[in-house]
Amino acid sequence: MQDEQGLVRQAQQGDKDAFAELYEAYFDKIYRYVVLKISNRAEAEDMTQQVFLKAYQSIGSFKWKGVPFSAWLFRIAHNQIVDFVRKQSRRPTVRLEESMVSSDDNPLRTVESRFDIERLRLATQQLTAAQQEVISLRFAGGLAIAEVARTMGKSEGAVKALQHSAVAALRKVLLVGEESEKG
Amino acid sequence: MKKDKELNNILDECLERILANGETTEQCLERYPEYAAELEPLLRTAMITNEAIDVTPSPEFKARARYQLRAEMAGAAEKKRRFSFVRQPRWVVAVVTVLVVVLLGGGTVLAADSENTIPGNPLYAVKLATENVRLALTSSDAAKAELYATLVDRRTIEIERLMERGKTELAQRTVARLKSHLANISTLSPAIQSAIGPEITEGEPSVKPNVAVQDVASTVREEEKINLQVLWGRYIVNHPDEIRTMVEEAPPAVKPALTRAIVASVNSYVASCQKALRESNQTQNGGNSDNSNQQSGESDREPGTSNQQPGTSNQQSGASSLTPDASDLQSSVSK
Repeated sequence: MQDEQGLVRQAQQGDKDAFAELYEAYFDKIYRYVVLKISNRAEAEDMTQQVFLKAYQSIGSFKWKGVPFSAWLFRIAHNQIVDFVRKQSRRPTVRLEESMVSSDDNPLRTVESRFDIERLRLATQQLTAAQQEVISLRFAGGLAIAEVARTMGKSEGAVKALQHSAVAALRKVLLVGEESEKG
Repeated sequence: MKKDKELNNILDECLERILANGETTEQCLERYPEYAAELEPLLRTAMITNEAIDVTPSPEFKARARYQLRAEMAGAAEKKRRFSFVRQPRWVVAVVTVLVVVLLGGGTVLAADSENTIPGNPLYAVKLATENVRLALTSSDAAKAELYATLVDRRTIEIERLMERGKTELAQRTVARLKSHLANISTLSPAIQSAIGPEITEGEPSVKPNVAVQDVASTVREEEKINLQVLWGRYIVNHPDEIRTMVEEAPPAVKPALTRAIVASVNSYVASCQKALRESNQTQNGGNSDNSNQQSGESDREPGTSNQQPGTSNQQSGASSLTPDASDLQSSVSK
């Protein structure tokens, strides 16, 4: 892939192939980011597609001012998801405890062996909004800490602290979930 | 406090080494033995998080999404390129139409505003302008819906004639106009609902003329109806989001018939693609048919097929991206 800045500039000038290259580079990452927040597969797919259609329609408005293209793209995804969740807010949610099934004495091993995207989604819902966003951008989006910081509009130091607290909180949620099953 | 900050940095460094450089958790712990006790559980949780999140979109979805994006890009380019008379503000349309009437005489407008004036005809722009003036002068929603329904019938006849003459590209543009009329009808749904009244019930197999897609084709001969369905199916596959919105916004009584019409159209399109593929294969195997050449050529022009997935032949992946499962689409539009 050639220089991202160059590709964005070409895409802004109407070069479809340049946009297609950006699309290919980010498609899986945006999909993972969306899937972590939206449980319905079909809706997640629709949302992923909408993110890129929106990006294509508004790429002319993107400006390089210290904000990388990835930050802009994930911001679109974030906004689309916020809109979606707002519309779906009346739907009943499944609690983490209800979805966990006990089968092992060792909490850590149980967590590790039975952990999948659905459980992760439920677990991250117990975190703060900022912690959720760091987990989503860092692990699902595969962004480096500097990109996460720019996307969230925070300093790198603040994001590193959030990352630490998010992972620690996630672990706690998972272990609590395991213990409550046994109890 | 300082230790916390250090741990934040070390955790991030280890994550970067593991996620980006493929280092193992153990290697990181060895690098920072004094933090190992605190780091280990964090890194283990981070690793299982990373593994759980490692989901990839299905190849079918990727192909579909890529195709849709290409179609969107092609559509956007077309919109930019084409000066569209019907997209002008209404006052422009009205002024131009008055000028046309003054300069060319009312007879020209009457001639333009007839079934014989189809896309490609120099007077077709006048026909569209006349329609826009009528719409601008129609104030009530119910009357507007009725007028749009009339326009749907007009577009249907035009598509039929264009198909007879083999002008598929113009027919496609006309399908887009027809779809736009249907979308406008949907936005006027309360007025339509009152117009439809109790004659239509949920699940009824047919709907009142001038409202649903299937009735658009009701007046054309069977063979031409199939051609129209194929065109519709192709349009539906290219614009699933718009179709879904159209179904969502349609009056409840119309939805079942609309959904059935959409699925029937997609099925026709899928059958047409499969036929084209079969004929293309036959041609490759020594057969020689003008019809098959034409159809496979048409398939090659589909947007998105130039960007194939690695490891698949152009023909096969192009065909698969053009022939989604109709049942998927049905569930999609029924959501």
